[in-house]
Order: sequence, then C-alpha cells, then structure tokens
Amino acid sequence: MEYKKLSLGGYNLHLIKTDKFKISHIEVIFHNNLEVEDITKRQFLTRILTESNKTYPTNRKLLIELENLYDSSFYGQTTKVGNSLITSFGIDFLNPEYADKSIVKGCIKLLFDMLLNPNVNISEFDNKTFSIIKERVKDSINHAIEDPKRLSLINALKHLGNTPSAYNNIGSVEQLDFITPTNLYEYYQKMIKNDYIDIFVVGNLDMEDVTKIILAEAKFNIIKNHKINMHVSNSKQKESLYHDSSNNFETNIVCILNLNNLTTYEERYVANIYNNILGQNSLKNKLFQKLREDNSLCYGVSSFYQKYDGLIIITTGVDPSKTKEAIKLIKESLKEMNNNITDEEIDYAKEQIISSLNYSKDDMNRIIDNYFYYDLKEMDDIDTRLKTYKEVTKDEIYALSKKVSISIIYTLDGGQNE
Amino acid sequence: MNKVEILGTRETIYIEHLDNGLDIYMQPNDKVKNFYITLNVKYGSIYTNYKYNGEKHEDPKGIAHYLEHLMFNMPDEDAFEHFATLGSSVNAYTSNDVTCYEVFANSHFKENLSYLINMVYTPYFNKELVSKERGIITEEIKMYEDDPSTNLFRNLYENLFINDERRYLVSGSVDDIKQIKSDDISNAYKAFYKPENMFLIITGNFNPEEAVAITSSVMNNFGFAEEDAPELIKNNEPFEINNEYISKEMDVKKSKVALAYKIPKNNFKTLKLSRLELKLYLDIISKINFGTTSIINEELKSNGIINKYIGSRLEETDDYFIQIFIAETDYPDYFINRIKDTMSKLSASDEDISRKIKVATSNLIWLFDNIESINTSIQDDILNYGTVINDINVIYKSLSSETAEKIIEKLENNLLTISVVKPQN
Repeated sequence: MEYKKLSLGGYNLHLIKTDKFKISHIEVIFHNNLEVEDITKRQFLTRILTESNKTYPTNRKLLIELENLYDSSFYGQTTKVGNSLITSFGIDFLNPEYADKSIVKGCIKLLFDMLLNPNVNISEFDNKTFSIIKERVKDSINHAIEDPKRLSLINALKHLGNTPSAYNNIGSVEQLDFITPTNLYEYYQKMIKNDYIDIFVVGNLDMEDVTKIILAEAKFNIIKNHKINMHVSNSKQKESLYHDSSNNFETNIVCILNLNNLTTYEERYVANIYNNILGQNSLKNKLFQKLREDNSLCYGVSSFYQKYDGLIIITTGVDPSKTKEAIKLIKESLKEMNNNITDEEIDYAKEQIISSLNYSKDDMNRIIDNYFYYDLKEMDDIDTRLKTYKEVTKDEIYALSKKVSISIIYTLDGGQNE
Repeated sequence: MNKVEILGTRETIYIEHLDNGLDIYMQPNDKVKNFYITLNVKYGSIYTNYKYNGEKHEDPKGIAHYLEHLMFNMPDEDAFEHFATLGSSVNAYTSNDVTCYEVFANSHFKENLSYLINMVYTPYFNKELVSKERGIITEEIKMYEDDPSTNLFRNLYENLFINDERRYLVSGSVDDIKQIKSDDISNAYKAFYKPENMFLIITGNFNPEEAVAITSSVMNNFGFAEEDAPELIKNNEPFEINNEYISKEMDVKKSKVALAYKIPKNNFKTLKLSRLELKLYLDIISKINFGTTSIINEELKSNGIINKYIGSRLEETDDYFIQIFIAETDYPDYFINRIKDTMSKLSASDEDISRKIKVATSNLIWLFDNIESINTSIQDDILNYGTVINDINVIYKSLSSETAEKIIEKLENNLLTISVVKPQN
C-alpha cells in the first residue's frame, strides 16, 4: 500500500494505492467542531446532497446514471465524534479493468457535481426534494425511538446534562421544525466554506491521472485555520438511577461510566483493553460471563468505549423481574475490574484488538479512518498501535479502573405486556 | 481438487470432496489478511418432521436453533474462550434451511479451522446446559417480540403459508422451547450433523491444500457411521393462504406494510426455463418495476406516500416463488393499491433489461471483494442448486425482453397476503 498526501490549500488529498480490491473508493470528508443545534441540520444536508442535484434533479435519474456506471454507489453519512461532526460522501466503482477506462472520470465528476451543484433554486433547496428528505429524517429519528435498545440509550445519554455527549447522532424532531429550504442552503454554504476538507482515494488507479481530474473538479479554495477539539470533558457525577416505563417485553438497561482524567496513553490504549475485558471481546468478557453464561439473564450484553467522550456505556436487555439482579451483576463485574483480572483475559483482549487492527487493513473505510485520525494526530500509526497494545500491563489496567466511576444507571422498564 | 472458474470475474473456486462425505468449497485471496470459515449443516428450522433410522420424528419447533446455541459447550472448556485466545470472532446462526457456524480471523488458521471442526463434531450437552440455554433463548425471543419488523414478517408468513414450516419463528416461541427435551436435541444432532449432510466454505487468505489436509486430519479423529441421510417429510403446501390481510397495533410512528405474492412454479412450466433462469427473470422484472429506478418508486416518493424506497425480495420454496414488497407509509391502503395496480401492468423493455444485466454482472465482481459476501454466495448456491454456479454471467447475458414478456403474462392470478403493523390509536 503506497500512501501520499498533498496539501492543496482548501483541502488535503490523500492517495492510497493498493491492488487489494476490485473496486476503488473516493471519499470527501468534511470535519468541524460540533454545534449541538446543527446535528439535525447536518443529517438533513447529508441526505439532501445524496438525493439529487441540478444535473440529476430526481433520485431516479441519479440512480439510473449510477447503474450505467456499472452500478457505482454514491452515499453520504454524518457522525458525531466527541465534540465534532464528521460528514463524508463516498463513491465506490469497479476498477477500470472490469469496466471501461471512462468509469474513473465519470465517477469523480459525478461525486463533485453532487457536492458542488446542489438542487437549489436561487437561494433555497428545491422544495419538493426538501419535503421528501424532511420526512425521511423524521422517520429515521422515529425509527430510533421505536427500537427499545436505541431509545434506552438516547434517554440515558440525555441524563448526562449539558454536554455534547448528551446528544444523539440522529437529531431531533424539534430541531427539524426549524429547518427551512433557505436556512439549509445557508448551512450548506457554511459547511463548504468553514469545514476542513480531506479527500481520500483508495484503489488500484493511476493516481497521477486521478489527481489531475480531482484538481479540476474539487473546487474548494478556502484555507481554514481554526482549531478543532474533538474531546469532550465529562466531569465525574454522583451515581444516579433513572427509569421510564414501556410496553416492551424486556427491560433495557443502560449504564454509563465516566473515565476521569485519563492520560493520552490511557485513553488510546489502556481504556480500550479495559473495555474489551469488561464487555467488548466477542462473546468472552466479564459482563457476558456473569449475566449470560453464569445466570442466563440475557441474550446480549456489551460495553462500548466512546473515546472522545470519555465514557464507557454498557447495554443489555433482561426480563423485567431480573432488573435488580442484572444491575448487581454489572456492578460486580466492574468491581472485578479493580483487582481480579486474569492474565488470560488480558491476552484475549490484546489478541482481539490486534486482530481487529489487522482486519482494518482489508477494509477500505477503516484504511481511511486509520490515515484520517493519524493525520489529525488523534491516533498513532497502525504499526505503533500494534506494538503498544502488546505492552499494556495489568497494573496499568488496575490503575485505570480506579479512574472509572458509574454516573448513570438507566432502565426502560418492560413487562406491561404480560 | 476440482477448480471452477467463475466466468467474468477472473476468480476460481476450489472444491474437494472428502471420503467421509464432507464437501469443501474454497476461494483463496492472498491480497487480504483475513479468512472466513463457515461450517454449514443442511438443517434449519423447517426440518421438524423427518424419518431417521426407520423412525418418524415430529419435533417441537426451534430445535435447530436451540442446538446451535448448545454447540459452543465443550467437555473441557467453553468454545468462546478458546476462540478468544486466538483473537478470532466466532458466531453461528440458524435460518429456515441451514445452521451455520462461522469464524472470522487473520491468524492461527490451522487452530481456528481445527477447533471449529472439533467443536461442531463434539456434541456436549446435559440437562443442566440445556436448561441454562433455555433462559438465554427465552430472552432472545422476547427481544425479537419487541421488534415491529419481526412482528410484521411473522404475521405475513403465518398467513401466507398453510402447512409450510416457514410460517413459524426460526427460534420457536417461548412455549415451543419449553417443550424441547435433551433427547429431542440429541436425536436431531445424530440425524443431521453428519459430514454428508454438511459442507465447509473457506474464503480469504489461506492455502487450499493445507485447508483440505487439516480438515481431513481433524475429521479422521471422529468415527462417522455410514447411515442413510434423514428423510424429510414435507408437508404439501396448497395454493391457498390463511388470510388476505392482518394488522397489528404497536408502538410505531408510521405503518409498516408487507405484501407477499405466492406464485406457483407450475405457472411457468411451458416456458422450459431452468429454476435459476426463472429466478433471475423474476428478480430483474421486480427490480425494473419496483426497484429504486422504477417509475412507481419515484411516483410514491414524490407524492409523499413513501420517503425512501420500496423494499423487495424474492424467496423460493419447493413449489412457489414468494415476491415480497415492504414499505413504511402513512397511507398503507394507497400503497397497497398502487403495488397491486403495478403488478397488473408489469413491463420489461430491452433498455431496462440490458441496464439491469450490467448491474447484476458488476455486482458479481463486487462480491469477490468481500470474503464474507462470497462465502454467503457459495452457501446460497449449494443450498439452492447443490453446486457452485459458475456461469451466472452467461445466463444473465442470455436474458431477453421477449422471454420476460412471456413470464409477465404468466404472473397473473397469484395469491396475495398483506401484513401491516400500525401505530397505536
């Protein structure tokens, strides 16, 4: 894999040449500090820019063109990472050897045409498209609420209070009502003007040729100098219990842990291993062992580490009559993390993490992530990471566990159906 | 070892048949670091009635899935723990017609493959383990019972099928699994978990010769009795449905609608097409008329009836094709009527067909970029056609609008079942 970065003023162009894949991928990443009231707007914008544009004024016309380009695929997504918003637009297409040479130029032109030539009339997004997308955003918000697991997580996070971590990634119906075709277009212009922009090309392509085409199409000229801080500092809270009722069969439990005052090394390495042993290692971890294997309380239980929020979040679903027992077992698992971790558990965690890092070398999106976060100085390069994980000690994990505190235990109580 | 070239992709699948009856399908790819192994049992939730060793078995629902859960117990250790030491991801799933054990990893190839085979050929369950697993499966079923989409499809299949076992949940219901006894599970294991009723698929970074040698050597440690394969007792599925329409109220904001057309394969007998050709035609006709580039999709979107796209999928039983359409809408009745109306006016122009052929042949190449997708595609071929299909590109290119029109003519007079999950009043 050959990597080359070109700093081009308005954007950085990252070229990753590899013959691993039969397809190639180009991604444009917009990145900026989070303003919580913009989450819904950003989700809306991502969707409207991938639906149609001036050249392809309906989604059908766009999709027919993509099918003609050997079923290339164009998509966008927005994620909230700590205190920042990352929006990416990607196009995947067959390598020219399986299609024809014009596919490269055709796909690059389409990608930038979609981003720079939106379906706008004078100074507002096309009203019809706007209505379709508004309904779609509303649906995706409602979808999250229909899913007890996601709803319990959304509700639990709200109790974190006045912090970006309390907001979910999908937006809210309340914010949606304030979005108009005009202010959305203003927000689009703001994103193009103010966001840092990185363009990644991955594939077995003639990179000189690709660079020439991108230079001609990617008309992002504004140089940015502001600082981006992705990290949220969530202060330690007193343990609090919250609950809501539901008509579900199961009770969904969410337990939010604060990681207090971690060093960069702990945040990048030790916390990952800690989380893996606690609840992330595939099917073999403390929570899984206690709740599922030893006590048959649940089908699934896991924890995930939100590095940029300084949080670990545990989720599970149990029979309503077993809620207290499950919470007790979660607390017991956390207690074990203080002084009862075996060498085997540490080895499993390291094996799992190393395996996942190796896996990332075969996945286009994760290849991009590895370079993107390294470039932001938020991650070490992959070889350093592979080496450093191996060196994490048990004492370092115990030291980190002293910095872990429960802040919120939330239950979405079920059982009213029975 | 047989080598089968997949036309139009520059890829080859290696096939080995072991003396003990196990077939191994391999697609090596040294450009990636990972490998993906699946050990598949031709035994799924619909196999509840069968004859084995002269005895008739009529099992409670959910045994295949229950057995899948239990297979991770080993006499001396927990299989999850062993795979954890290797840094691998291990899992399993059960569907209507297959139970599949899967390992995904990028190191310790020999250990992963050996242990997976050892695990699946070492049945170890006692009353205590069976009882422990019952609690876990009960929670799994309850988790799905809270899910609106699961309810939508369960109601759809219950009404679409009269006798076919697809009308029941793969896991069985909470009441079903209460009836399952250790002996039922042991009997099912003995009947179905035999090399000649199973197949192994390996994709990704590995050496095929080494894979065959490891598999043979590990399997030589097990004595496989030469017995007849279990004989499935199939229920005749009549050309009938239980109900045309069923709705359920749940905590959803928008109605979820599913329509299923029950299409007898007999309708197409005179066209003299193979099962695969027929399936490809039906799939393409459905994509042209209801897919993301269809006129009705655009119309329903622009009228605010749907806001994304019409979901569609084509399923197959022994005697029927099942064409399913799904959507979320505030106007379920209007949506249903528009689908019915479009079904009565299907078309497939030359231009549409050639564009969809381009899409399908491109997708075939995309498949090989993902070691999981290609593994699943081989699994589909084996379960549905008993062999790896190597000329699908050629078949696609032979499809014509003339034949598509003849198929459309025969698509009249099918049975339709509709399931709706509505918001609560």
